[in-house]
Amino acid sequence: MAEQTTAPILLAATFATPGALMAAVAASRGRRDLSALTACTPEPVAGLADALGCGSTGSGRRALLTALGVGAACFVVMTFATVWGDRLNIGGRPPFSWPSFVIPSLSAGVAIAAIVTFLAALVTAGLPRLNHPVFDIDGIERVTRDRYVLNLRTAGEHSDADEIEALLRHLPLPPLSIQRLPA
Amino acid sequence: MATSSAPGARVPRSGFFDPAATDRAARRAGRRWLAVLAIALLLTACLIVSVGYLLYDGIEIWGNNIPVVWALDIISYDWWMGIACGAMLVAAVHRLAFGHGRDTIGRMAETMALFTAAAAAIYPIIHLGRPWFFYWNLPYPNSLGLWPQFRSPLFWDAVDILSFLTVSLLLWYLGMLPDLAAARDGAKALRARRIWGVAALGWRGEAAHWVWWQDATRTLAMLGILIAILVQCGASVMYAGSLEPGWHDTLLPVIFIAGAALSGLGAVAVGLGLRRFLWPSAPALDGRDHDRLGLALAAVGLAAIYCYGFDLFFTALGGDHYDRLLLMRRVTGASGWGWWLIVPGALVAPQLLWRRAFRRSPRVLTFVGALAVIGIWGDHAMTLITTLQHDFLPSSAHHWRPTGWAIGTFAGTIGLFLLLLLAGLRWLPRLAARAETASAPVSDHG
Repeated sequence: MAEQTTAPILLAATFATPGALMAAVAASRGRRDLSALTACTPEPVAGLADALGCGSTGSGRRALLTALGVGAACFVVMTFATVWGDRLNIGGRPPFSWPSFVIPSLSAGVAIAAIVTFLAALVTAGLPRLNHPVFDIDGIERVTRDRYVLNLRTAGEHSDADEIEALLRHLPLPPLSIQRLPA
Repeated sequence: MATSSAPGARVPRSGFFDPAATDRAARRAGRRWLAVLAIALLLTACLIVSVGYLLYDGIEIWGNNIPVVWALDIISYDWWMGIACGAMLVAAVHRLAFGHGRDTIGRMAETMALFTAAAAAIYPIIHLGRPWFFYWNLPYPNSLGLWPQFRSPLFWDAVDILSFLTVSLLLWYLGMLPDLAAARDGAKALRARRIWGVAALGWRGEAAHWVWWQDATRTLAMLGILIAILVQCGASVMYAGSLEPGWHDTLLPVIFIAGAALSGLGAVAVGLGLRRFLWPSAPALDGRDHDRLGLALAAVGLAAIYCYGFDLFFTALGGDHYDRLLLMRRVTGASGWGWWLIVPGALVAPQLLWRRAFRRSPRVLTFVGALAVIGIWGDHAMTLITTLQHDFLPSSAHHWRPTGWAIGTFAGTIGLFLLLLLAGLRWLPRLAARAETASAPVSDHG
């Protein structure tokens, strides 16, 4: 008998190959009775991020802007310090010794850009998160080795988990297992 | 993130880290590892004693004098930072050009970059006459209204090494996250699972995770290339900005970067050789990795030959009397030992690797890498000591000899680096000699 639930549930389908996973993603994508579709893999799978709608993070652009901005700010600070703040005659060198300021400005900019890149990546990915429903899936440990898990979160009301499960089982490359967990 | 492979195809990698298939013999610390650990601990103790006495008695214990105000301390610092920058270049280029860096060579290069920078970081503080005032180098509010001397290379050093440590640490850690998760999932003991689990930050391998991971690690790799070049330029301009013969040369930044790349590649080869020595049963690199490493060493060695040849030619041609005298002192006489470390180590030995049989031999690769590292040490020694001992006025010339304390401090930094590396070889994913399964080709049809 078709199971229609009001509470969303998580269907976790485990596959042995990336090709099987991609076929399941193609079959499941766009269904209205699914509120979320994610996949866990041991390594990047070509085309998976596009299929699941994961956009680019803009990491490079962010790092470039940060490095230039912080570098410029450091350059201004150094200029202020040597020209006005603490004006010293060092061997007759001009106060505005701008070539000397380039390397430390860029270095500081690169360091801050690296920190921003790292933190932005963590925030974007929602890490750290040591507790997640995915960790309750039996055999999830193998996802870092040789298993590919597709997580389908039902939309709740009017979702037919049995129908979704049957769809997956009738794929040309069916999953090794399908588990149901509370979402 | 997009790759050119067919949809669903697995992004290829050279090895598959399989912590569940741990070899029992490898899991227990081997006798060789313990023996090398004992040496590392001894040298680190030597470092602690040397630094302690230095703080008590001052720089004089190193044998520094006038005019040789920078000696083994700066040789060592420049050498360590050169290896760090070179290893960073190797790690970054490897990650950008050959995929995602999740293999032994990539992890070794990133680990080398971080640990050699840590060994180098000892010197900027202890080589100050009053190291307890090291914070004067940094801008902080003070009642005298003073700022650091931004025109000083000492300040550049402080900023550069902090920046380098930041970038190398973040690239190393972020690049390792998926492998830390694999270690978490493969650990048997609950405590180990918790430790690896916290370190892995809850990594789940979701598609979104891989997207940001690839973007962020590639961005950090590019920042790593930039910081490596900046650090070497800063260090070289410290010399080139002066008027000293043999230093005041626009070629010096190029020589430093080429030397850094050579020593970085050599250090990676030595690290891989150490790993193989400690665990002979560990899976070896495949021939393609050997070829890449060997060819890179040979090619960068050619760049080094160009630099030294260029320097020799234009010194002979340029007509500067002091430069030519310095060149003669570099090559002959009591100061010639540095030059004669460079020629066989950094110039001749890497050229052997154009021959495929030598590239494919792990022992030859390690040996040539070690020679390259020693040769570049000779370069730093030659550059620094020969010029300072005798620059312009013969009456100002004074020879220098290292004291036991200076040698002890240098040996101690080697011990510290070795200690860190041994820990990495024992526990870090992709470096620890657990059984690795070569990735079997998987068809899209399962």
